[in-house]
Amino acid sequence: MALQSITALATVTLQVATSEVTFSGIPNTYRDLILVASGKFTSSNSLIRIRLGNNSVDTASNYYTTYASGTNGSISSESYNENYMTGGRWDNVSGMYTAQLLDYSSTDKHKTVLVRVGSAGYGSAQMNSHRWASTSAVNILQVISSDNTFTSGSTFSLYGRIA
Amino acid sequence: MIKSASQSSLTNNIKYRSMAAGVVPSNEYLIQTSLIQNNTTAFVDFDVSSFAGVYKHLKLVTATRGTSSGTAADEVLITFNGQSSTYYTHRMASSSGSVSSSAFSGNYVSQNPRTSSGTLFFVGAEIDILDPFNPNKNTTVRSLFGGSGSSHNTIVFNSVGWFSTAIITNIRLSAEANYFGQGTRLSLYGVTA
Repeated sequence: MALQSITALATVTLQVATSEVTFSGIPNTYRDLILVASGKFTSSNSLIRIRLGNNSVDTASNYYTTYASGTNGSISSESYNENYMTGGRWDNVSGMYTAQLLDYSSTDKHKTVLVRVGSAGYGSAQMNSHRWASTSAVNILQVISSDNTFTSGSTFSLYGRIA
Repeated sequence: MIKSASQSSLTNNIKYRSMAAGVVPSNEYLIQTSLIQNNTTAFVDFDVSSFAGVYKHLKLVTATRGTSSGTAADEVLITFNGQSSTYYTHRMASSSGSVSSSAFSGNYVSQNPRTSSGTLFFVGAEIDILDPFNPNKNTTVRSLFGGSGSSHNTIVFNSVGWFSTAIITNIRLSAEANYFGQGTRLSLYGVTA
């Protein structure tokens, strides 16, 4: 009998405005992780970002990003390196974010992450590829903003996919 | 399984109210995973001849690299029922730091970065094959693929049209040039209606 491939690991629904959401103790028994976030910021617009780690969050400049986005009719793209995986912009009206972390527990690969992010309120849609330049297995994932807080009611769901 | 969430930085000590876990009612099922253990595999076949009537759509999730020397990347191609690339067309929006789009004949769904990117960097792809078992329509494939390596970086949103109403019985993923590199992973899932 075919196996259902996706298991919900955790869902967090914020009860108060919060600057970060962290999933820790992620088991290594899946092939990929899928993060789905839906919500908004408390004020104006800011960037939604994630960081990864093994037992502790990696805060060094080990994250590489290539993105293409459209915002209110203008396109932009860039390729760069920093100490976050910057996804794109949410505002105080709406935001959605999905990330696939492929082979997250493999210790013979850097971690490739594919992201789609958008905000109807801000008027943007963006696609990203990221690389966490580490062969460590991911067991901690942190969602943060550049300079804002996620509102009460924002949700963050983490899933494991088998392969 | 263990999950936890960081407490808010606010001083009212309110923790997150809901944390849910478990198998969700999902309509996606694992069919097959190929994990390549050598540097001499040029293609992988997936036999889907028994899945018409079982699944509505198919999905491939891949992490690939190639064995060609140099920078940049080669294509990963998708072929249905052994039919050649002349039966497909392809449109893509892409960025490697600057945005571009293209349209041409072909069956290109992902990339194999070349060896200058090293053995730790893989391009990831999520490839959706829509209505592959419907004899009343051509087959549409959409893929999101990319990676940010040291010698090659890209993000691509892509669609491929296969101009045949034949029910798909075989899917082949192949390296355009040389082989898939060791560690390449190709996973096929079925999605029910």
